[in-house]
Amino acid sequence: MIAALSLALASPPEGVIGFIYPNESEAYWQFLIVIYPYITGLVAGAFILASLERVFNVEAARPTYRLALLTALAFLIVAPMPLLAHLSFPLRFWEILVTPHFSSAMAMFGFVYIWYLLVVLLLEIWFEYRRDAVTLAQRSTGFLRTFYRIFTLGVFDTSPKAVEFDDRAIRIISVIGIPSAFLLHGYVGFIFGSVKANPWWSSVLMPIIFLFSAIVSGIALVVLIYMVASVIRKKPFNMKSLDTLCGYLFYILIIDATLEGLDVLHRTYAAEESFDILYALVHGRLFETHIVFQLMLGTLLPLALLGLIQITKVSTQIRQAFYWISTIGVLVGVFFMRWNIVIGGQLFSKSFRGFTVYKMNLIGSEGLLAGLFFLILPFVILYGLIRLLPPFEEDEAAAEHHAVSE
Amino acid sequence: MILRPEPTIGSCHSCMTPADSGQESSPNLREREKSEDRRRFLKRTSAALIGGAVLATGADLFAAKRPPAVGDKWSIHSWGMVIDVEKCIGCGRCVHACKIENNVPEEFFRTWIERYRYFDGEVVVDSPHGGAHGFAGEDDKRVPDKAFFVPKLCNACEKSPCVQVCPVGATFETPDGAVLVDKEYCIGCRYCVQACPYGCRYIHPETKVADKCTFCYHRIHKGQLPACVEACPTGARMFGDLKDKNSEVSRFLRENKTFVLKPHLNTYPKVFYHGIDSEVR
Amino acid sequence: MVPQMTRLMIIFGVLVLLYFVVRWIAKPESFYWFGHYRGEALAEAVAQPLRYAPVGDCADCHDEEARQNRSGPHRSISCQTCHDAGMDHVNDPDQSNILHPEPSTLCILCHSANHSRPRGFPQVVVADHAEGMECNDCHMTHNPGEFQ
Repeated sequence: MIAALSLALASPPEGVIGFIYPNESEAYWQFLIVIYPYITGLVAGAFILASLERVFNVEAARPTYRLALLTALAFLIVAPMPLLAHLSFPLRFWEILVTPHFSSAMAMFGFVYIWYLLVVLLLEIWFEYRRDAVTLAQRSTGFLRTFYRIFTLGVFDTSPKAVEFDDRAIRIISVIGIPSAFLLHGYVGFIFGSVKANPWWSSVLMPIIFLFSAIVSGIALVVLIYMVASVIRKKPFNMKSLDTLCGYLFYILIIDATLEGLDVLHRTYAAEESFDILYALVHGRLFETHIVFQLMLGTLLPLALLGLIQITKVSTQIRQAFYWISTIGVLVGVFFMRWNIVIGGQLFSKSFRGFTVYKMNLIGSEGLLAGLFFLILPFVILYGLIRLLPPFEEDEAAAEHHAVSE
Repeated sequence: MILRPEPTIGSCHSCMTPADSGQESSPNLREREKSEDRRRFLKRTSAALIGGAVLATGADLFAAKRPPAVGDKWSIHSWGMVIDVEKCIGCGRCVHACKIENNVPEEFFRTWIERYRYFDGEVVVDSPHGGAHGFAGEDDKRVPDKAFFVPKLCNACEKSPCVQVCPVGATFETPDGAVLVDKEYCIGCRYCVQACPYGCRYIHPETKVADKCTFCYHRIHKGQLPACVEACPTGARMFGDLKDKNSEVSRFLRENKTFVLKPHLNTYPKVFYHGIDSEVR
Repeated sequence: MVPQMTRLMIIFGVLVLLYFVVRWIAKPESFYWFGHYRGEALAEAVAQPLRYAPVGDCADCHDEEARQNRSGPHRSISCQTCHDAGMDHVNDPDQSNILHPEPSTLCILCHSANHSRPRGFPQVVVADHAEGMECNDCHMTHNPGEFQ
């Protein structure tokens, strides 16, 4: 009887091919851990786009400057949520702040996040919007009035001297902010890149690849939001701005593609111990997400379209269409890049002899709905922020005009 | 630190009242003095608070609060294991004993047995139900060229990658060389599960914290052997103190050629294998 | 100093203060005793109850079976290898009985013929060898080298 029972249990769990260590039947980092690097990448990318305007005086990025800051903030607010939801004990999160284990890259999260939120992003937004808040406080009533008064932190000085100080402060914060943004997202890349147990993750290039794909996704996001907002507000696109930003998108996408290509080239050429199983992984379980979504849709198509614009003259209509396609393609591609790394790294066994499956639930804390909630929530927050802190050039001009005329 | 707006030149003209434009009347002077007092008070209190916090933290860092007995002097031991694959018969009693001793859930394993079979130079590896029910019904008609069983468990690495990556200090190396998980402190981030090269960790479905072989820490501290070593009928598993030159494990290591798993990862495992070959990962 | 800076420095000062206060309250007392972990976790780990009894305990009561076992080929095998965890039984023998395994399911774990076991280990093709009988119909239970 025990023989029959053994035979029944002996067949591997559904979907497993080959041999996996018995404890590897479950994927331990699931959908939420795919979403987290995606969100922090968008934060870092949006912020770096904003910094382009301030630090390098790129005039063409001016129309999207405030929008980029607000986008970064909206996504930064949501960033820790998938992490906390994923923990077995979210209420023990304080342990990371009180007894951080400094040999762990993950322990940096609490401090890097707080640093970036308070000292970089909120501070830069405060300096940028401070004077507007003074004006808006006077013009509003009720709850909004209280909000703007609190926002000013009791500083109502809008003299030229104060303005000069604000501008200098923003410049300094932007300069500090760029390496801080690199740290905020780069450490996530390091979390994966430093795991020597997993050859799909373990790579010196991992933090850099994460970073450049983050920048690419951030630029694409801000451009896309700008275009959507312009359509909603029935305002024309500032084509000079879009052309410049999508130019940046193109060139940084080239760098990103080169880095990922270099990783692939090195792995294929050196063909180390893990090469066979990883090759089987990419061409098997990861074919759709890696080859189709990440590579073709997310990288090659945008490169082709944006590259065409760089080489030849393309009409405005077609350029706009290309920008729509490219930004959406890049955003989808970068999402699947995170998916391929996080999920892909757990689909093959560390024994290099087999594969398992990842079946995403619909409901539950790591389900599809939960993930979609965290992906949509930043846009809801962004909408609120746009209403509270108007970022668009026309609104800016109107506020200044109003302040001057009083 | 005055909380009402101070009028300055260049600010919104509609805010300025005639009284603010230069003349100091008596009520304003008293307001001034009150705010001066307030400022001084706030400064002193905050200084006191900050000073107190710094002192408290300093005292906390330097205070010697370690109680005697528990943990001290344990570092004279360094627990390790030797597995003689040539003696393992794949009966699965070790896996079974571990499950009972440590309440290991059905679908996860603190220790398990892998079977390696070679057919015409190709190796086939399997571990039906982790070997918990032995391999009695698991044989088929094919006769392998060579075959052996490899028991696996936590390697109690001296340079443990799982300990390195724990963000809060919930998994740790004990002074005497075992690697444990603090169930009260683990947040369940699962980084340690990813970092272990040997696949010995899992998340316990009930407690939701990381779990793994502990070398039966509770047994070895009462002078007993780990349950798997206890249950092994052939003596394939040997356990002891690597720092004790006369222990079974130390003698075996002196007299036999042994191998560790994944040596290129430099984890300095303390589980040594005798009789495996290069296909074992 | 410009009002922006004073205001900001107050706020950051308060937040830093708050951090140290929270740290002082929340940090477990036994942390850092022996390393970057709660020192009490060591004692907690040691306190886990035993399920398998200490090795000499069985012979204290079951000296007959122990004597049989000692004189046979199973002398180096622990009682609990076949009888499973015995601590409960040792603590209260009347309340909690130990497992009496069925030979036909237990013995085959080691002795059924399997191509992967080491050559020279005693194995039989059970169906041919046992011919429908229980193992201890012929073999003495605790000294299988002797026959009933």
